Amino acid sequence: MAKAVAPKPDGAAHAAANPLREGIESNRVPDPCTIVFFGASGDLFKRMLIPAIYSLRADDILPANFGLIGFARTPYTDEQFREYCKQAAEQDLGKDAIKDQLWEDLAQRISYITADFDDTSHFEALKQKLEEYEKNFGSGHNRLFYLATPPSVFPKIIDQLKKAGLDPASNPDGWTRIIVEKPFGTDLASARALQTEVEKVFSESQVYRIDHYLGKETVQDIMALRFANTIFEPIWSRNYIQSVQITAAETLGVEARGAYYDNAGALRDMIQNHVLNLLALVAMEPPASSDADAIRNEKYKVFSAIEPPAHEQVFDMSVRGQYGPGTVGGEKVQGYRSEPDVAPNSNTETYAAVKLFINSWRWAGVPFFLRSGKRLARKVSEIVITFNPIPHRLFGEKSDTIEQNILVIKIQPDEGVSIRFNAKVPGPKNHIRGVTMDFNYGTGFGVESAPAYERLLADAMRGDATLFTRWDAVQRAWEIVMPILDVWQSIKDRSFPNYAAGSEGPAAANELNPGWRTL
Amino acid sequence: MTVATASTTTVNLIAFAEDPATVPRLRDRFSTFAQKHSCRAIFLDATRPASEPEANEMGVAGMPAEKLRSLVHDLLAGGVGSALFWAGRDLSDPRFEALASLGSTVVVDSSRAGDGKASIQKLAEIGASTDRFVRDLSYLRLLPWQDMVAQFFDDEDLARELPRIAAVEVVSGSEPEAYYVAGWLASRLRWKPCGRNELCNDAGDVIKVTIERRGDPRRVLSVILRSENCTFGAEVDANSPEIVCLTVSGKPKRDRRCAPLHDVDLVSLVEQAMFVPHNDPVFAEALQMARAILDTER
Repeated sequence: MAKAVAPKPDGAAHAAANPLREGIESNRVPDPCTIVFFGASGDLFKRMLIPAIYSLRADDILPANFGLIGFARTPYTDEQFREYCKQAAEQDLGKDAIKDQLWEDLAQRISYITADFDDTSHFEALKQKLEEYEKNFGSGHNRLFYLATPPSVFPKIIDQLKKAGLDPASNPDGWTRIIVEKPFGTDLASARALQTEVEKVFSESQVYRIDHYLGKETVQDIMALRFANTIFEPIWSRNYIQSVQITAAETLGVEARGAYYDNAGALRDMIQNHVLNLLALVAMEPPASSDADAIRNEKYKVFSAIEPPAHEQVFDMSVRGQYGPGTVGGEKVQGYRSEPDVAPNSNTETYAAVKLFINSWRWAGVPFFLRSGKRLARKVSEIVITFNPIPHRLFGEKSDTIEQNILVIKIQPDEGVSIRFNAKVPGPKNHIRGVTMDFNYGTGFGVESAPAYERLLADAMRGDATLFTRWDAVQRAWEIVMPILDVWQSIKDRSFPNYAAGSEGPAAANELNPGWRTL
Repeated sequence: MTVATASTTTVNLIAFAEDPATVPRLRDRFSTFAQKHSCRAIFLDATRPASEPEANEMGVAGMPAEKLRSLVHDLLAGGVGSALFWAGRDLSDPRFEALASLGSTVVVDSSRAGDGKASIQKLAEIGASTDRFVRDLSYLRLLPWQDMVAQFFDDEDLARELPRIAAVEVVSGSEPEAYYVAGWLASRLRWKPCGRNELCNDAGDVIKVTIERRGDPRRVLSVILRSENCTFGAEVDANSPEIVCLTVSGKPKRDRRCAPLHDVDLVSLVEQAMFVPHNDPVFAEALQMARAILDTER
């Protein structure tokens, strides 16, 4: 097979060489490459990754000289795996979304290796297959390894890559990168141990720790809201902001993830990564540039300014909960302890709320309230900035409540921004009432955001690490939550289950923050 | 009388339509646009007798140009820019001149006009003689095609063929798109008209331009470039009109690759046309070159 017609990677840079490129905006097409998905027979690949790969193809963002190799335990022939991929893409995107021409072009570049992760010879077979791909598809010796397996297998795969000569040092003619799915460790010690294994083979610039939350368009819009406007920055500090709330609430239970979740819990699953990353975006100083490391440096500075609670402060600064039976969406649902693969006396929290302070000039004294939970009243991810009350009341009848101004950044669903402020009620009386000004991304721009995995896969292929988490930030995030984890693990919560499915969460959360926005 | 006014008006948008077959659709799209943006929107329907404005619309059939201008002028919000979207048949219509004088941006769709070639010539004249920003939706529709044709020459081996191109063949359902493709290529590659449907490159070599009208209006079916050694083809797939396949045959050759051709709706095109904050020099040069190619046909 010869090279296919293909735009050069990062086409804009080549405008000078190609006069037809002048003035034409084009998708930034990544370098030619082959992606190897470890764990390709698993749920993540099926539900998220292969639909994202097809969407990248359909949006013409995938490089023309591209290859995909699945590597997993489940036995498949190449043909069976291609069919599995097609069905998965159809299931997620809809049958009509899959265009035969585009699928066939992609399918001929897909193959599969039935593998045992303990067997080095299977990794050697992978190396051989990669070399065939590079010869057949012109993928330029560029290799992206995606660890979509359970975390317990990560160190083994990394070690086998080295043994089989698939490490970056053995591939001087192209780049080698690795995407590591979250969670990166299950606590500080295991994260450090995993990092030690990673560092033996990959340098930091070759490691892409994925947190799919950061790939969501509205998460990226937080930076645009803060740094592409002048009206927010002057009031973005302790002088005007009373508190910040970050919520990631779900109505779903643990579904089929009981075995994983019962060993994780809400603090590990959501707060340590997604929610802390949102906090960093809200609190960070303006970066010197849009360069990945400039942004990640500022995020790390936020984490380093958060003081982890002392063990004796844990119960004053955090609340945990576990859902019992209740009603969600009009349907009765069982409690957490009755979910499949969950211990009947489980001490795992399905709700976590934490109060943190950032010890910096900008944020000293401003509480950041973080909460996340399963089986709550509403599915919502949002950031709520509550501004200080007015210093002196001039308007409104005595009976009127003068609300504090609130800025809400809605991440999902109904992505957008709203501002709550006070206005005079029309009429002869001097009544004041709170009103909301709403902006919705969907109607405002009339386009749908690209799913997170699509964006992140393309970024990893391009070598843009902005939306991936650097090791220093991962380590610091673990340091922040470790005292809470230690105390929660050592002291069993006898009140569990302490909130009903479909409710606002445990009552104790209101003692931590009486001002939670109603779900 | 009321006009559609958002709480904050950032632009006046005047739309003029006179084709009974397309007025309902344009009115619908215009309404979508007006709901989305903070604009004062005025829809002038030349298929309806002259009437008092209702909501954001009024009938203007038979209304003299100067009266139309004066009436619309009184409806505009002050202190903000104005844009005209002209969906009339003829750019020589005095009503076009009258309305265009009210706005700093003029958006037309030359492939909807009665005479697409004349529209390009008139638009080029306006672009060259006034400081108004002119836009043509027929050109904006070409963006995916421009990107695909440019893709051939992102490949350094194939880029060597650019100076050797000897023929350009465009098939499209209406003429403006085809002339814009030729004008764009000529302006980027510094070709100059040197005969009827002929262009010459810096070395004096002739490039033959062939334009065939086939298929649905406003749809390009293929763009083919021929050099001494190669043929570069971007063609809509016969079975899937939303797919374009790129081929390079000859020496060097490349495997066929297909890419999606996303349909861009009218509202998005008008948005692009109105909110590009500066004049687009690539379009301006393509427009002038398209006119120059048309001039060779006289």
